[in-house]
Amino acid sequence: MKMDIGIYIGFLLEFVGIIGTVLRRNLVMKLLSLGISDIGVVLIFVAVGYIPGARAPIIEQNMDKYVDPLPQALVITSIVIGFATLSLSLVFVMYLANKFHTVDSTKLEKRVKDAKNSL
Amino acid sequence: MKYLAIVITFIGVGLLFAFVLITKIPSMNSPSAYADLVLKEDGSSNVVSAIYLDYRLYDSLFEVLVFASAILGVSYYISHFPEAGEVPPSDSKLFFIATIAFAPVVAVWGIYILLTGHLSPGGAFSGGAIGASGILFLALAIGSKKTERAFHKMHLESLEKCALLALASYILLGAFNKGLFSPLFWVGTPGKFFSGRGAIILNISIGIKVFVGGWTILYLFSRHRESV
Repeated sequence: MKMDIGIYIGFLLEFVGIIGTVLRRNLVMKLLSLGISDIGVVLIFVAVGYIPGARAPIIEQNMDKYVDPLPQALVITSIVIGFATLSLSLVFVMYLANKFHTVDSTKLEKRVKDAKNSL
Repeated sequence: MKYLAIVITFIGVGLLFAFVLITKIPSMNSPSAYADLVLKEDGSSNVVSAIYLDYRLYDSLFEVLVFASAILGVSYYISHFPEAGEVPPSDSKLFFIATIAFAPVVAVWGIYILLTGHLSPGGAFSGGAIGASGILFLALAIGSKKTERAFHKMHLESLEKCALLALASYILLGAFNKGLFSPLFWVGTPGKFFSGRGAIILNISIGIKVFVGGWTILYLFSRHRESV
């Protein structure tokens, strides 16, 4: 199987996204990094199904070379669910920021602990 | 600790990369195999649409359900925050005219993409998202309060439930027929509008779902925009 540049960039994006998700303290930045790794997965899927010289999988006359349509059909699911979960997790971040007045994860941990102790 | 996390992530992604490198991903030897099968069994010109609206319809069903539950969660949890009020109508005349001229064009374009999802690139999800951005244009021009009132007048919330019901009943109809979606509908001549079995019905129902859901999320976030 020939590896093309889309797969390399996809894995690089996934690496960057996971590193950002783990190391960033800001919750909004964590969500953005999660989105970057999501895009990396999409890029890998589309690049795996690519065939050199082939066209998009829309059936036309006098055409017999199409790229693999299955990864593209799976990617649609990933995109829509990424949008839905991003909006839901943003609401949870808003909830935390509204209650504890920070989006920094270490400060948040400390304040949650303090709030528990004061009860 | 920081470097340990970087090294572990590097090893993990590297293992994944090696897995993709080593395993032979079964690529199609004859790329027209899908095309022949789709022309015979489904009738859509768009092979991707034929896959996610026919062969893998359960996948799309649960995707729509995840989308619906996410919207439910957003609209429940966001009601705990104080409101910042509606988005006011635009006070710039140029902006008002530009957005109000663009809004119907974008909305009609979204409907077109939604209806011809089985013939050309596009489909329910992209069409619904384009329609929702057209409504966003309208809300920027005349304010979100009037737009939401127009939504209520058109009974789009109940239409959304009907769309989910139509999707579920279509799938139930196919489930009794050994999972063929769906034998009652015609295959048609590929390339014509009436083809692709139930693609038009499914595109319309999923499109309404995505359209109303997208607008709901946009409206809720805009109404609670300064609450943090």
